[in-house]
Amino acid sequence: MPANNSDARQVLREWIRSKAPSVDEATFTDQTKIIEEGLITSVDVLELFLLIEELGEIEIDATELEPDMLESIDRICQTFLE
Amino acid sequence: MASDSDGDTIFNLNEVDGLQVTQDKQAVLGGAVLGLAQDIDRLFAHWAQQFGAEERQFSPLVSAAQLNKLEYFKSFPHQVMFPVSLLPDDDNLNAFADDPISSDDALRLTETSPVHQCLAPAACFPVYMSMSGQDLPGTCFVTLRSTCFRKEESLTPLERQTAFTMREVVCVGAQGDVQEYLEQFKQIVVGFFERLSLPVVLERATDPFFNAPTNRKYIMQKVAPLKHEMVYDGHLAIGSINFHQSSFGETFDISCQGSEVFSGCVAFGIERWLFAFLGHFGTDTDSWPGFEDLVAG
Repeated sequence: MPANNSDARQVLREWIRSKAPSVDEATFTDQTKIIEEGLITSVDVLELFLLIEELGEIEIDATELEPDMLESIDRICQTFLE
Repeated sequence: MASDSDGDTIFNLNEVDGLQVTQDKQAVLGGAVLGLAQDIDRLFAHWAQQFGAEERQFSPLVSAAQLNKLEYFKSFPHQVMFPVSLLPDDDNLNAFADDPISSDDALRLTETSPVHQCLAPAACFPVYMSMSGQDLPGTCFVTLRSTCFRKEESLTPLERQTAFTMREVVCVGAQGDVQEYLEQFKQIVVGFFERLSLPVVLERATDPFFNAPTNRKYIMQKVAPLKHEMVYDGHLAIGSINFHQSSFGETFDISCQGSEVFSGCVAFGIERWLFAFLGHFGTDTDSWPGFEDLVAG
């Protein structure tokens, strides 16, 4: 069963923290631009895809990706998990 | 003939002063068009100087082992080219020398030596490779011009050549410095295109990855604004602005003042800039801008 939105957000936050341990907790929000601000890199992006697929019980077609779909936790949830 | 995105002829290559085209569709530059190419490159060097970039010159041969660290062969096996030599065995060399070429002008290679290098597919890779294992004292800027080589399915002189000239201006250092540099360069080139009324726009882009949907770098370019191309007349990328995040720093173990290093580059294809200039200003040399016109403003 897909994770509910609140749980999914929490899982995503924890995953991003694990990739960017030095993230500034004071400014890290669901609107933080996680790629633009360097919290995740291309090394992490496939893992993020798998995580989103697992959370949403969906399959993502990479060819249909649009710019900024992974911009922030808010955007990920709006695009894939709602 | 050179055509625009609709296939309409925009200028005749034969009418360009100093331009010749070889049988393999490579442009040969001389006379006025060579002067224009040199002026265009001086413009790039002028922009590079604004950032205090150090000029460097590298070999056009790049270590295959180093390229492999970048997963280049996984990403671009369809484009990479190699400098190949024959196994230095007398029988092998004699066999080649006796019958070196076929009727369709393809070499009949006999046994070849192990290949440890590639022809440079982009100018900037050797910059990061040369910094391998270093802790930089601060953010640094490097500019270089190289002949680059890519296998292409179809060739068009100036527009798409197997060998072409690339000028790059590279920034390696703190994340904020690299991102600010790329933003400043965007403003420089956009201002230049507007001032000369060149029909070039910045567009988000992806590289032509092999097996793209399964390549993490392609996915990253699809979802993040890491690469922008300077697109002339809606169809020809004459340059690009690229943010690599920390990928080169991690691959080559580079740091900056003990911290994670980021990088970005601005790349210009000189033959393609010539194409854009000839398409826009025409083949009459009197209508071409001089160097002072290019750097004015």
